[in-house]
Amino acid sequence: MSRVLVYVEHDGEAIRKGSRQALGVAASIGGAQVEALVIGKGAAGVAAKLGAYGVTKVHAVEYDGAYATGVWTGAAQSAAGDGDCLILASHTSFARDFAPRLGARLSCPQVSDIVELSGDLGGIEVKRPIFAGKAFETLKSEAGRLIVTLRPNAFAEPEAGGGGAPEINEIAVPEVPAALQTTVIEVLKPDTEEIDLTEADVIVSGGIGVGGPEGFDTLRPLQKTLGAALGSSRAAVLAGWISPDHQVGQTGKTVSPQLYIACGISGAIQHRAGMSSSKCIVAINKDPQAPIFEIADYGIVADLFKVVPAFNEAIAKIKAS
Amino acid sequence: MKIVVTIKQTFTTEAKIAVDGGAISDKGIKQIVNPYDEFAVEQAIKIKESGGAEEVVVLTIGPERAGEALRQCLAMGADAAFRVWDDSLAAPGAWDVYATVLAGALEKMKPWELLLAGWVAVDDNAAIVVQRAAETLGIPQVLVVNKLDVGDGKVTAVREMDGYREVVEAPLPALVTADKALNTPRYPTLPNIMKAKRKPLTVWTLEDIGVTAGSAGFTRTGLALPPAKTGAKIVEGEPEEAAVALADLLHTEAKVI
Amino acid sequence: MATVTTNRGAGFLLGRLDVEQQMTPEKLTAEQRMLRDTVRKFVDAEILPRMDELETLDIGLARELLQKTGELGLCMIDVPEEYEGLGLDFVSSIQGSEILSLGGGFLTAFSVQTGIGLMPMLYFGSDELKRKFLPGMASVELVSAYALTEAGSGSDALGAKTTADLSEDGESWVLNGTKQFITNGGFADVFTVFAQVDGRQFTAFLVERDTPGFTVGPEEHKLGIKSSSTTSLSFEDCRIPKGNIIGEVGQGGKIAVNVLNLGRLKLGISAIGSAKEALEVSVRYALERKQFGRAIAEFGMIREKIAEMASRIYAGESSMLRTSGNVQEAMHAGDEAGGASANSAMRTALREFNVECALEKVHGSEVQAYCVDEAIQIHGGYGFIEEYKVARTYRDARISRIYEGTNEINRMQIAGDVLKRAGKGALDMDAALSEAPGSEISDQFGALCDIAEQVDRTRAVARGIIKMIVEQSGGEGAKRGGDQELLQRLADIIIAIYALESAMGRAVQARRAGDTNADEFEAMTRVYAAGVAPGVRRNARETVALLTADGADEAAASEIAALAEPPAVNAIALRRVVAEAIIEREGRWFDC
Ligand SMILES: Cc1cc2nc3c(=O)[nH]c(=O)nc-3n(C[C@H](O)[C@H](O)[C@H](O)COP(=O)(O)OP(=O)(O)OC[C@H]3O[C@@H](n4cnc5c(N)ncnc54)[C@H](O)[C@@H]3O)c2cc1C
Ligand SMILES: Cc1cc2nc3c(=O)[nH]c(=O)nc-3n(C[C@H](O)[C@H](O)[C@H](O)COP(=O)(O)OP(=O)(O)OC[C@H]3O[C@@H](n4cnc5c(N)ncnc54)[C@H](O)[C@@H]3O)c2cc1C
Repeated sequence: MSRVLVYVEHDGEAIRKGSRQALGVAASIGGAQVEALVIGKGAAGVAAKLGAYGVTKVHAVEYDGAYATGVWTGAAQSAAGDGDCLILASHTSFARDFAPRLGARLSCPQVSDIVELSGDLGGIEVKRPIFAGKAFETLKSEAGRLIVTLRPNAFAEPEAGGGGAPEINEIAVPEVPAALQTTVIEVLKPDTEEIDLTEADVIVSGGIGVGGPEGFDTLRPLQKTLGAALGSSRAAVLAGWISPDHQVGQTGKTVSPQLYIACGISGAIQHRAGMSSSKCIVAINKDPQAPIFEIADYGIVADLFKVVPAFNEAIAKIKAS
Repeated sequence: MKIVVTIKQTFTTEAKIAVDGGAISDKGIKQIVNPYDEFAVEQAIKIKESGGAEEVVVLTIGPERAGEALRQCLAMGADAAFRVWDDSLAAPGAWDVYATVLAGALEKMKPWELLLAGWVAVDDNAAIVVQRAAETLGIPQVLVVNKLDVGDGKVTAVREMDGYREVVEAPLPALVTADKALNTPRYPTLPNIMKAKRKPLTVWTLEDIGVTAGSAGFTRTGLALPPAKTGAKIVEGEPEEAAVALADLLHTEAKVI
Repeated sequence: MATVTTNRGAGFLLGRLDVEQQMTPEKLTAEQRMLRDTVRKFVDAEILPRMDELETLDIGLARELLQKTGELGLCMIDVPEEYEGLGLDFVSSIQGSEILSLGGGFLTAFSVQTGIGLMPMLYFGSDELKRKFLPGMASVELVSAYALTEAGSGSDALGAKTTADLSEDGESWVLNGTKQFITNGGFADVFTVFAQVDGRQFTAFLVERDTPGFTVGPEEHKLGIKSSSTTSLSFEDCRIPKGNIIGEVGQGGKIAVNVLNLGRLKLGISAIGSAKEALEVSVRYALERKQFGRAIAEFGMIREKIAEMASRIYAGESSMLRTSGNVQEAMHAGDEAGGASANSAMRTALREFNVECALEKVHGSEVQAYCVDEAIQIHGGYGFIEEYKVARTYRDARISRIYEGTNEINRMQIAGDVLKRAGKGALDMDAALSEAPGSEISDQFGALCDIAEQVDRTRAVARGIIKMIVEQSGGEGAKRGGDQELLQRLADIIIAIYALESAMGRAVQARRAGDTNADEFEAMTRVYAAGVAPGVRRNARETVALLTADGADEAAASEIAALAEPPAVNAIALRRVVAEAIIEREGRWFDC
C-alpha cells in the first residue's frame, strides 16, 4: 500500500480546483493512504474539509506570510518524511516553484505538468505534452519516492463526501536560513490592458456575423470572463467595426491560443491561415455549411446573439466553482 | 560580479514534430537557443553593459551540436561558454540527473553571484532542472520574472504568479528565471559573430566536473502525436442549451477552460 | 576522364567535377549559419513589418534600414580590415544577398551598397580614396550608387555619352551628361560615375552628392521593387577633385565589367532566395486551400509544380555555392599573394569566372521567374490580389532578368567568352573530346552515375558544337559569334551542364557525409536532369541544323544529335517523390 501526499492549495477557505483534481487522482490509486499538506492562513479550516476527499492525515502549517520558496519546500519535506511516498500537486505557480527543490531535498525524481497518470508507486506511468502539445510522451518510473505535478484541468474533479475527520499533524513554520530567504515586497494587480492577441491563451473573435460595431459588445462580457483577447475577421475590420490590430488571418495576426472562439466568422482560408493552429477551435455560426466548421473542434449552428450570452453565463459558473 | 546563464538548445517553435523510430526526429529541423533562455542571456549582457557585472558565462548540457547555441550566446555578448556532455545523458526523462550535472558544473564554476536561465524549455516543458540545481547549491530563486534589478547584494524582481504578480527580493547569489516580457533579445552582429569565434568554449566530461550521472528517474515508454482534427462536433439543441453544453464540453472534455 | 582544377574559369567544360572540393550549403561554417540567422531575424523584425511604408518609397526609412544592415556588419564583409571592414570570405558575403531577397526592393538598395556601389572603389580605388570613403561605405554612413546606364546606352554600356574633361588648371575633372535608372539615386552620398575622357577613354569617377553641378532627378514609377530608389542623375559642368578618379583613365570598361561579374553572381543568389520564399509560401497555401473538398496540395498538377520549383531551386542553389566557393578560392589565392598584387589577383579571379558569374545570373533569375510565376498560379485568383505577398514577389522578380546585364547580354557573354577561349586554345576542346562520355564512371558518383553520364554527354554536346563553330570561324570563335541564336542555344546548354553537375555533386557529397537530406537531394537532381534534357536536345538539334546547312560535317552533327538524346526516365514518378518530400516539409527549404 502506498502513501500519497497531496499538496493542497487554497485561498484560506476554498480548495483550489487543481488541488481537488489532484486529490481525485490520489483517491483513484488503488489502496493508497492519502495524506495532504496544507500551508497558509486558514490551514486548519481547510484541513478539516479534506476528509471528504478520502484524506486520512493532514500536515498543516499555519502561516501568515506570502508564498516563500523556503517555507513551502521545508514544510513539504517534513510532510513527506523518510519513507516511500508519491507526492502530487497541481502545476500551479507555487508548485512549479517548490517542487523541483523538494525533489533535490528528497533526492527523488520529479515530473511536471502531466495529463495522465496510471499505475502505482514502483511502477507509475505518466503522459505529458511536449513541444507545445505537438507531441505527447509517456514516462515510467520505478522510484519509491516521486513528485508529480498535474496540469490543471487535465483531470476530473472527484465527488466530495463522506469520510471521517482526518488526523492533523501540525508542522511549525520551517526556519529558512537568511541566504535562502525571498521577500515579497509588493503584490501587483493583474494588468487591465487589453491582452495581446499573439500571446493570448484564449481569443474570442467576431466577424460579419456580429452585425455591426455594437455587435462586439455582445462578445465583450465573454472576453472578460475568459480573460481573453478580442480578435476579428478582416471583413469586420474593413467594415470599420473594429480596429485593424484585432484582425486575425493571412494579412492580420497569426495566433495559436489554447482556445479560439469564432463568432459569426465564415472561416475563409485567409482567416484560417492565421488561426488554424489553435489548440481548440469553437465555431458559432448560423450557417451549417460555413467552412469554419471543417477545422473547428466544437460548433454550434445558431444565432450568436442567442448563444453567446448563455455561453458566457455558463462559463462564468464553471470559473466560479 | 560574474553571471552564469544556463541555456538549452531546442527546436525552433515552428518545427513540425515527427516521430521516427520511437524518438522525436530532428531531421531537417533548425535548432535554436531555447527562447526563454535567450531572454536570460540578453538580461545578463544588459547587466554587464550597464556596469552591473564584469563577466557573463554561458553553460549548457548538450551534445556537440549544442555548441552552436553557445556560440550564438557568445556572439550576443557572453564572454565564455561551457558545455558538459556524456552520451549517457541522451535519454529523456533524466531531469534529476541533469540537475546533478548542472549543480556539479556550477560548483566548479564558482565564484559567481547571479544564475540566470529561461523559466522553461519549450521542448520538454519541464521547468525542473535549474531550480533543482539551485537547491543543491543552496541559493534562493525567483522564477518567471519579467522585470529585474540587481544591486546591493540582492535581486529585486517582478515574478508572474497565477493571476497576479509580485515584487520579490532575494539575496545574492540567487537564481532568476526569465519570462518573455523581460527584454527583447538582440541578434548578433557580424563583427560579434566573428569575435565569438575566438572566445573560449570549454567542453567538460562528467569526470571533469566530478559527477557520476546515476540513473534517471524516468524512462520514456511511449511517444505519440496528437490525433488529427476530424471536423467539428456539433452541439445540438436550442441555442441556450447548446451554449451550456458547449461550456461543459470545453471544461470537461477539451479541458481548455 | 580527368577531373578539373577548380580555379579555372569555364573548366567545367573540360572534365568532371571533383565532388569533394565542391562548395555546398552544407559546408557553411557555424559563423556563416549564425550570420544567416541574424539576417533572417533582421528581415523578420525590421523589414517585413515595414514593407508597406517601404513600398511607398519612404526614403528616410530605406536609409535607416540600410544603415541598420551596416550596424549589423553586413556591408563590411568584403572590405579589408585596414579600411575598417571585416575582410571576410566571399561565401559569407553572399549570405546577406540571399536572405535579404525577402525584402524585395530593399534588397536592390542593399545589393548596390555591397556590390556595384562598393566594388569599383574596393578593387580599383587609390589608397587615398579608399581611406577617405571605404570606411563610411562599409558602415553605411555613406550610401553608394553606381551610374553606368544612360538613356542611349543600356546594354551598350560602354557607349555612354557623359564626358569628363580635365579643367584648365588641371586640378579637377569636369563632368557633363545624364545618367538614367540609377539605383539609390534618391539618397546615395557617393556615386561611381562612368564617363568618356577625351570622348573615347571610358573612365570611372567618384562623385559626392553635394557637388555643385550635380543634380538628382525625380523617382521613376516602376513595375516592381517599388521600395528601391531609381532616379536619373545629371552633370552640368560638375567639378570633382582630380584625385576622385577610380583606377586610371581608360580603365572604365574593365572596371564596369569586373564589378558586374560579382554583382551578377550575387544577383543570382538573391534570385534563388526569393524563389525559395515563393516555394514555401505556395506550399503552405496549397496545404490550406481546399477545393472539391481537398487541399489543392493533393492535386497532381499542383504537386508537379511544387516538385519542379524545388528541383530548380536546388540546382540553382547548388551551382551558386559551387561558383562562390571557386571565386572565393581564387580570391584567397590572390590574397595570399599579398600587398598591391592582391587587388590585381582579385581582379584576375573575377575575370577568370566571368562565364560562371554570367550563367548564375541567367539561371538564377530564370529559376526565380519560373517559381514566382507558378507561385501566383498556385494561389489562383488570390495570387493576383496585391494584399497577398506573392503578388509583390512576382513584380519584384521581373527586374532580375533585366539589370546587371540583360539575360540576352549575359547569354552572349557565356557563349561568346567560351568560344573566345576555345578559339585561343585556352579551352582545349580536342583533348577533352577524345574521352568518351560515361567512360570510367566508377562509384564515385554513388547512386547518381547515370546522371554523371548525362552530364558527360551534355558536355560532349557543348564541346562538339563549340568545336564546330570554332572550325567554321577559322579558329576565330568570335566570327560565328555574330549568330546570336547560336550563342543563345550554346549558352543554355552550358548552363544545363553546370547546374546539373552542381546538383549532382551536392547530392553525392550529402550521401557520402550521411546527410539526412541526401534522399531528397538525389531525387531533386533526377527531376532537374529530366527537366533540362529536352531543352538540351532541342537546342543541340537546332544548332547543328544551322551549322550543317552552313557546311559543317554531317557525321559530327549526327553524333552530337545522338548525344543530346534524353535518357528514358519516368519523370512523373520522380516529381511525385520530390513533391511528397517538399509538401511533407511544408515547403521549408533545406538550409538549417
Ligand atoms: C487578399 C485578401 C486578404 C485577406 N486577409 C484576411 C485576413 O487576414 N483575415 C480575415 O479574416 N479575412 C481576410 N480576407 C477576407 C476573407 O476572404 C473573408 O472575406 C473574411 O474573412 C470574411 O469575414 P467574415 O467571416 O467575418 O465574413 P463572412 O464571410 O461574411 O461571414 C460571416 C459569417 O457570419 C455568419 N453569421 C451571420 N450572422 C450571424 C449570426 N447572427 N449568428 C451566427 N452567425 C452569423 C454567416 O453565416 C457567415 O458564415 C482576405 C481577403 C483577401 C482577398
Ligand atoms: C530598376 C532599375 C534599376 C537600375 N539600376 C541601375 C544602376 O544602379 N546603375 C546602372 O548603371 N544601371 C541601372 N539600371 C539600368 C539597367 O542596367 C539597364 O536597364 C539594362 O542594362 C538594360 O539596358 P536598357 O534598359 O537600355 O535596355 P536595352 O539595352 O535597350 O535593351 C532592350 C532589349 O534589347 C536587348 N538587347 C540589347 N542589346 C542587345 C544585343 N547586342 N543583342 C541582343 N539583344 C540585345 C536587351 O537584352 C533587351 O531585351 C537599372 C535599371 C532598372 C530598370
